Amino acid sequence: MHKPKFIITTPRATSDELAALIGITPEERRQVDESLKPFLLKWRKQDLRRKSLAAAKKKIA
Amino acid sequence: MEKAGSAPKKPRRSQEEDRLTVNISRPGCFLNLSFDRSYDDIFLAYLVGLSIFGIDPISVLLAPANGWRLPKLYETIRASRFSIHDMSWNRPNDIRYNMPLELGLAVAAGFDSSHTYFVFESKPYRIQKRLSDLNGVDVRIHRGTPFGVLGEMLNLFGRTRETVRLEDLHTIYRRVRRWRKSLASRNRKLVEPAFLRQTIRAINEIVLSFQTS
Repeated sequence: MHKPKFIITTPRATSDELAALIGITPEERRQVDESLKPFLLKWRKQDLRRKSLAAAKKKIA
Repeated sequence: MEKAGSAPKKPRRSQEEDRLTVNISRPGCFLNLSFDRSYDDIFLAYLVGLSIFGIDPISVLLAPANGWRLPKLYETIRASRFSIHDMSWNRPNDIRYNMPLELGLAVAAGFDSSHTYFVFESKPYRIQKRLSDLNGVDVRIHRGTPFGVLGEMLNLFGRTRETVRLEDLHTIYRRVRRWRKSLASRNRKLVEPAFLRQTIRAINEIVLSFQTS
């Protein structure tokens, strides 16, 4: 069975293109990146755990 | 010699050409909704949805303070591939005409360009009563919730060969909210341009880091 995947379907803006579009300043950008850091690490771990669980379930099935 | 009926081979495009094509074909979406504080979560859901589908958000809030007059507004809407008009604002003591006016500009822009507009409401059939000229236009009902907005955006932009799961949209939205709550400045409103710029940047990073199972 085809398993749905999360794929961005249209070409997305790179960080620099988006920055130019919305006019974010380097300082604002730095602040956002700093505040996101701890979350991104935690969420990456969660995603990996979820991925391996899904793979294990698939194997059993 | 070419076989009869077979299409001629297309010349291979250079990387530079590919890059340019990507830049040109990336769509933008003009957001027309109430900037009242009570709409912050709905606004956030629209931004998350657009980011997930690789569409650039375009808002009057991101434009320089000067020079925003009707012709400029019309040109901005016309230059955007899409526009979303949330017509759910409903306070008898606080009537606002900006949203219907901008919807009218989008309808006009659609007549002589490839612009496509989408109308969102929170209650079914209400807009048809108030604005019967819109009869025949599919109105998206989000029931006043961010998850309703995400569901309707999936219906709109998720009709491509790849499937985007609604649960992934929900997960990303929850993550954006968690990031926002962690900020010392969490009580800032999205209508503050600086905070809006930071939020769009954060959403983009969260979407890019998301990994599906």
